[in-house]
Amino acid sequence: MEKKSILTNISRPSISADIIADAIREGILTFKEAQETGEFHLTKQKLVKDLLATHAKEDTDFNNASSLPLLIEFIEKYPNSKYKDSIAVKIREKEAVEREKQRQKFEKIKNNINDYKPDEIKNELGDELLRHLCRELGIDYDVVNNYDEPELKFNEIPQDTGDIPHGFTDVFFWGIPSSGKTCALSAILCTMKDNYTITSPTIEKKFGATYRDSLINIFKNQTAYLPAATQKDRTQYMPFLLKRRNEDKYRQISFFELSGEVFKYLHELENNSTILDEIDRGYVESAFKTLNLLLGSKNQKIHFFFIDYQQETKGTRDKHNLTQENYLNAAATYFRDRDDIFKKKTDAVYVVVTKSDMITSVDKNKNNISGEERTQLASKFLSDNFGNFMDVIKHRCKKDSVDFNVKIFSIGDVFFKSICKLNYYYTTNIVEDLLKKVKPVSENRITKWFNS
Amino acid sequence: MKIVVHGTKLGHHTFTPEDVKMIDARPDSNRIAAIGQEVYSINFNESSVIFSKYKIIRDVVGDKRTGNVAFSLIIPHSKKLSGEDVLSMLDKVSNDFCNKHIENDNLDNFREDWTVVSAIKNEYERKLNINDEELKSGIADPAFVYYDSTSTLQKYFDSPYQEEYSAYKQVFFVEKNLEGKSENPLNALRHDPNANLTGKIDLENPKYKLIYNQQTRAGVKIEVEVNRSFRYSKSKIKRKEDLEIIWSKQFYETKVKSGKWYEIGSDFFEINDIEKTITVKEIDLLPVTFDFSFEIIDNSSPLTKAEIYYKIGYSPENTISDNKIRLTQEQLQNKFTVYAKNGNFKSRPREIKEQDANNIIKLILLEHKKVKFHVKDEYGLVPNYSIQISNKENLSKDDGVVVFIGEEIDKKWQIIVSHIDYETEPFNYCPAKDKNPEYVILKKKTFSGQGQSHNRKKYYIKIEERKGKRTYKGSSINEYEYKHPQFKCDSKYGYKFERWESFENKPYDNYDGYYEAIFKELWYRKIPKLALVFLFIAIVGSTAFLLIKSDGTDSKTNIVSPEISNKINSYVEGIELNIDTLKEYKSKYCESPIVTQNEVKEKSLWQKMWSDGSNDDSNSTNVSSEIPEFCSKIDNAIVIRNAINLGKIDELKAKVFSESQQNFKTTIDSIDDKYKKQIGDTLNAQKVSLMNLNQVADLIQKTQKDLREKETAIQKEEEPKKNTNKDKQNEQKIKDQQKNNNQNQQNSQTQKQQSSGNSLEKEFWELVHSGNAEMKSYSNLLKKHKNKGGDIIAYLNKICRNSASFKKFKDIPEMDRKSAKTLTEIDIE
Repeated sequence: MEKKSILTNISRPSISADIIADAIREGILTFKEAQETGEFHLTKQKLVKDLLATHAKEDTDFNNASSLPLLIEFIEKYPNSKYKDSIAVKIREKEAVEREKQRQKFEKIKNNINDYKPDEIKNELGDELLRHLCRELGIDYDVVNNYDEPELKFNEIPQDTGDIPHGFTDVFFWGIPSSGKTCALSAILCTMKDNYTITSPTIEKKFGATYRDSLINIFKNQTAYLPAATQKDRTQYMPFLLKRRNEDKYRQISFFELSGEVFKYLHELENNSTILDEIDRGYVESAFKTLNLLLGSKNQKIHFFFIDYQQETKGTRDKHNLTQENYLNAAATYFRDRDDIFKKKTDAVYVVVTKSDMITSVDKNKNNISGEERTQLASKFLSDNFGNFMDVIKHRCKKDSVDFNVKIFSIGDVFFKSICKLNYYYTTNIVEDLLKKVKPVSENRITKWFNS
Repeated sequence: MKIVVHGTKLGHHTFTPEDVKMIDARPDSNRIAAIGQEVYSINFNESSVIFSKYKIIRDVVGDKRTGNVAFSLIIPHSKKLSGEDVLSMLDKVSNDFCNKHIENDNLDNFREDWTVVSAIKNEYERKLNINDEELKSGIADPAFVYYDSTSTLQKYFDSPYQEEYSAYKQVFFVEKNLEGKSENPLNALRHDPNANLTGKIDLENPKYKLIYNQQTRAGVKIEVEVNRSFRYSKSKIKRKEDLEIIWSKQFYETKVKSGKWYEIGSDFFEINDIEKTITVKEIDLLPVTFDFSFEIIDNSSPLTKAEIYYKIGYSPENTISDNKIRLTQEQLQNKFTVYAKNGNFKSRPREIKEQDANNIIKLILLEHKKVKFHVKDEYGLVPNYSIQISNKENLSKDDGVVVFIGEEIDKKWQIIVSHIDYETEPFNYCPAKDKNPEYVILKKKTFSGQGQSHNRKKYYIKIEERKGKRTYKGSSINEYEYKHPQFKCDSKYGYKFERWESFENKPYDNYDGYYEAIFKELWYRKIPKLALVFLFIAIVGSTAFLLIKSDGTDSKTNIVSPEISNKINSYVEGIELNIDTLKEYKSKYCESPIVTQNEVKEKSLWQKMWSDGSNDDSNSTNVSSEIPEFCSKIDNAIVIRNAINLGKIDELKAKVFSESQQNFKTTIDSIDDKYKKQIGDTLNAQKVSLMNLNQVADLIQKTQKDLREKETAIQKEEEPKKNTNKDKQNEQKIKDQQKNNNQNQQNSQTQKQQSSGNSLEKEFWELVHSGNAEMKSYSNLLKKHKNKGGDIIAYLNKICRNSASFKKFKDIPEMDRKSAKTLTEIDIE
């Protein structure tokens, strides 16, 4: 409608407030020009003013609708807006960009799944993409969706010689904090439970059964939520009986998991330093006492030293600015200065490189790496980073005629830093080694009598 | 005030430069749903209260393990900040840090210069106020409190010093709406799930400082108990706590008030709500008092009125009105005595105690009669006497005045007036009948030496010498005592002193009587001392025997080595011939089978076990049942010694003597028959058993010489009377001839001895003057001249008897020995 026609007939009902407001919105006329006709009724003026205010809000919202949610919100709010076509276009464009971002994020996460924790993944990808990702990774969506940290339950440890059952082979698990001892132990125990026969021994004083069960129970269908590092010293002692399923006789084995804090204690002893938190000192000294009890016992012994491949390669330092190498060197000095540490009935010493799945080929373009190459790289890693420690341990073993081995170890595929699909390969290898080293118990009457 | 940011970054670290030990609040396992949540906390160290705000994060450096970052405000106990300011400050610091360094709840590596934190700290430091409360966190795992609004949380932070927190390491304050949810931040913080303090902290129960003096100026002791435990002044008490205040003072009524302080009231407390102090008032206590009532009783006649007098301690005597008196407990700590009096009638003084209160105390009036005794002698009044009245209790006398009370007045008394210089004569007196005053005439005592009163009786102290000694603990006991001895008496072996038996009325020698020491015979007294000695010897002997046995000797045989045989032979042929030694030798070597050991000792049992058997016959011990030759010699020596000791000269003359004993033999042979008896008696009478043969010989010679001299003197006196008788002359000639013969014989003997004596004397003095002090030299000299007699031989025997006697000789200064001219100068006795 033309300006003149509107102004001439402005008092008539046919020229509605909508028509006048639209004309003003489109710049055909101004509110002032309408007022100057003298026939612009006050009631109509108010209606026009209200309409103009609504339009102004719609315009502002349109201009502010820069993101996909705002565009969608706009079109939902103003379904008949004059901008609806424009908005539809914008929405399509934004959706395309968003899809691309998600795709890129998905790809990024898929390629770096251990940069994220399960709860982060859920936030990052959303439910649908997470399901998609799980399908692609071959892991149960519910396992990721229901992730929470497992709770470990701990037991008392032996405090005097009488507490230590006789006739067992004591297997020592050494390693600095976060070296992967606990995960390795849980994987080994789970393998024993799944593929061997493991049971509690009949001994007077019970140790470690609760802890052993909680380690085994973090695995369900070969999948586990990995335990977090514990705050406190958690030296644990677990005696148990083990046999192959086709065997008659059990081996008497006890696992002695030394807390990583013990290495701090060794560092203090060898360097005359004070790095243990006072709150931990009592626990660690108690653990050290138990360690000495076990080292001095008449039982056969096997030592596993766990070295974290990842921690060392990342150059991680703790709050005392000390590396894994610093602690292992302190331990090496401790072992070097104690002539008899492996003398007393030691069957074998193993140095185990954990998180060996992180060992990559020297050739950056090579994705797959053979087991043999991985072992060679692990040996080089040990020699390059822990030469002193390795030399001392090897020398001590040679001197005391103790079997010495280097092993690589991985618990299996780890997803989102916290979820693991157990690979029996490495754990079975360790279990079989143990079964070879530890002799089955002869259940004849004389032995029974001696062991009673 | 300090602000510390700390948390988990591959282990627990303090991020800010402040060197403060902060709590690592990580639990053993986390619920990841708690990530991103926040929680506040309060804990205390030695010097400060620590307010913290925790945010649960993923520790990117630590493999994205669940961790936390905490913002802590440390305020010394001496300062305080309002809860609102504390929260505002913690929020500012945490918001600033989280905005910079936490993305999607991930705490990655960061670098922070902390200038913002310093600025915030400076801003709030100005708002600090004075505080005087203190608390220290305990060791139990942290507790928690759920709060429903920020204003409630502010109240908690306004009053952080709550006793209920003290058991725990830390107390977390969690938003109420997170309770029971997996997002609850406590799921990622170490805490005790059972330590829920929600609703247990009474924020409307302000604390006031309790002020009181434990001892007021008036001596009142104040004790304050809060909830049944003692509280010192300046300790804090809460409005709603139950108090018990005790004001106490010795001898005063104790005041106890209990209840809440606002219930007890302003009479006992002074409250200052601005200073928040409660001061316990010092109140006056009432003394503890006792009421005493008295009744006066007169058995002789009804008395209308008598005064009651009382005396407390050293205060002047006072009267009691209305027969009643009230005294404080403090007054009663002194001696409180009362008596009633009316003229000559007076009650006995009565000491009153607390327990007499509330009973009527009866005071019985009795007549008091004073009797004056004038003590005189023939010259007038005598001072310094004493009056004793038998069977009279509570004898009160002063200057000869004796008071008789009540029934005593009619009794007859035996009175003794005694004085050191006067005889004591008891006399009877009845106060009712006899004169008053009474004159007592004393008689002077007669003295008998050494200033002792004639009347004073002396008692001999009789101690049987066999049983006791006249000593007690080493101090000698006098021959007599004036009274029963107050000491004991040392006893002899086998006795024990029991008591002194009194025989005071049984005159003993010149004494009036005596006290005899009575001893108890001990059990071992019945065993002769010698038996004990033998028992001891037997024990020592058997021990030695066993030791010897262990060396392989036979237990049933004696071994007489050639050395022993030589020793015995040497002894029985020597000049000592001690009867005990001879008998010992006899019993030891002659009264059991003898084994004579010719060579080496028998091998020990050990040696026997390890011997190859080829030397079985090499045992050189010969067992013989024959009595050794020296046994007859011992017997002979015993006979000789017994004859000497008993003075049996004829028996001795018949005996054969060894070379060493020839001196004795010569002397025995020289005894005139006429002197045999006297000499025999002399030997018998004197203790010749301890003398050696030479000494006995000397004694015989001396005795015979004396006898002769005596005889000669008698002859000289009788000579004129006898000269006329020819026969007697002839007899005299014969006697003279005999005498000459004897003299010649003696001279010959003397000359012979003189010659060898000169050699001995020369050698002896040369040896002495040489300064030689070796026993061997003197023994050799003695051996060389052993057949001789004389002083030098006797001297040599004396000094060579044993090493102890020779030591005495050796101890004589060398100078003295070298310059000695006579044996007396080097005598060892």
